[in-house]
Amino acid sequence: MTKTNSDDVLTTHFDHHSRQFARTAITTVNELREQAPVARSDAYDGFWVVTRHDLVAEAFRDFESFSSKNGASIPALSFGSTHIPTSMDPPDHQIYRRVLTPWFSQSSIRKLEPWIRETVAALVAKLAERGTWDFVPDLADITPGTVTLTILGMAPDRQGEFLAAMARGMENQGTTDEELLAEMARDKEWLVAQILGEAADRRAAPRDDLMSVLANDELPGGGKVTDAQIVDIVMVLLLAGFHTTSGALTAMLVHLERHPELRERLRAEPERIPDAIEEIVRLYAPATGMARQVTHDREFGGVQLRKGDMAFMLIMAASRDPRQFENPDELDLDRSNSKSVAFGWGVHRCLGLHLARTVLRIEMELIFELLPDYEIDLERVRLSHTMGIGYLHESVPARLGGRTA
Amino acid sequence: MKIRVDRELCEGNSVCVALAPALFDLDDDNMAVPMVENPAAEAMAEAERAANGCPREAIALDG
Repeated sequence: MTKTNSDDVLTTHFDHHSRQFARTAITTVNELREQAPVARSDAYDGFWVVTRHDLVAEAFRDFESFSSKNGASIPALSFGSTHIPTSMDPPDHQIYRRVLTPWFSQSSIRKLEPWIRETVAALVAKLAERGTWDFVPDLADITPGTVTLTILGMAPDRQGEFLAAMARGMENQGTTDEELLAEMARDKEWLVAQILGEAADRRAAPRDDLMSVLANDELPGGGKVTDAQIVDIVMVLLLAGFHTTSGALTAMLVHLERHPELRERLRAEPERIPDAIEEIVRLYAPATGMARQVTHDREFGGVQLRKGDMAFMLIMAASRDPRQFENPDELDLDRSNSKSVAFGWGVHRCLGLHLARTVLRIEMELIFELLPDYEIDLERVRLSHTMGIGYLHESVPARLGGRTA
Repeated sequence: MKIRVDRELCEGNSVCVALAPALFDLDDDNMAVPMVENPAAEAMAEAERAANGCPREAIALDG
């Protein structure tokens, strides 16, 4: 599958959206990293795959050489590649980021925590009542979107179909099926209409929510957020938090089922749950990687990059790099993850990281509290058939201990 | 020039550690700390980049 050409560049068919990659994601990224710190993939229109931790961190840091202007996805998302502020470089990036930051800051999320706990408790209590459930659709996929839409100010009864439409676009990223593409285009049109409807409501009657700020407030430095920009911002807020947080929860649950001693330890010492979360997102990258565009010819990791080239920073590979993490494939609660790129690195570092950490911690605390003897049916656990956006599970069936499914 | 990090504002997003690895690190509380109080003139651009990049606007450059 891989070969070295005359210029000493390792060329591969690496395609993070392929079924084959999904089946062997961790092995593939570990092997690729050890074969070449920067490889050349001939998938899509061709792109560089950056796998080593120091190079991934360096590229994320150096926004002058590695621009976000062409979007963070390969290939570009069906929802467009103008996500704000994901597809911006400084200084423009900062203008928009600073509008959003206060709503996702640690202190704002802390204020939301009682409500998040109540929301998650209601969902988990429902699982206990049912006796059997699937952690993916019944908990992991619900919480992050619900919280983000609530921060935006969208009424709870309107959130379900909104999230369903987003999910279809995410799952089928990279598809060439014309029917699917047409359906995704219709979804996008519908989503745009919903977002602009909400914005119009807030212009007529502002409330204390993020949508009101986007619809009414002046930007730092002057000017207003346009309708098109509101759509871009809302899309990225939802896309970024949706499958990532969901993937992290299910990766945690499946890992704990395979490591009962760790599960017992976390139940006995819930104050270590945050350390476990940092390790889970390092081991099972909720975001597989992020794309950047090369802004000028330069040498990088032993290869010659050309202006305009796309490069995919493979977070999944960097996070298991033995040069950065001792025994990288082990979950170690005492490990320092201060240099982890699991939440990205540099100016685009995950806006929702405090939210994600809080949601995941509360979910785990309440699972231990309300479903103490839950059992996951490991035989029926299914990984997603696409791992291009993150390490995701399609199904994690579970039941209360002692009952039959 | 003197680098100051406002610990009331800092939330350990690590953006400064990424943008100016020679000037910032995180402490045990996950808060950014300047590693050099009075950086050399050559480090000015890097310090400014970190200050501008901080999503919390927690970094001040005095003098």
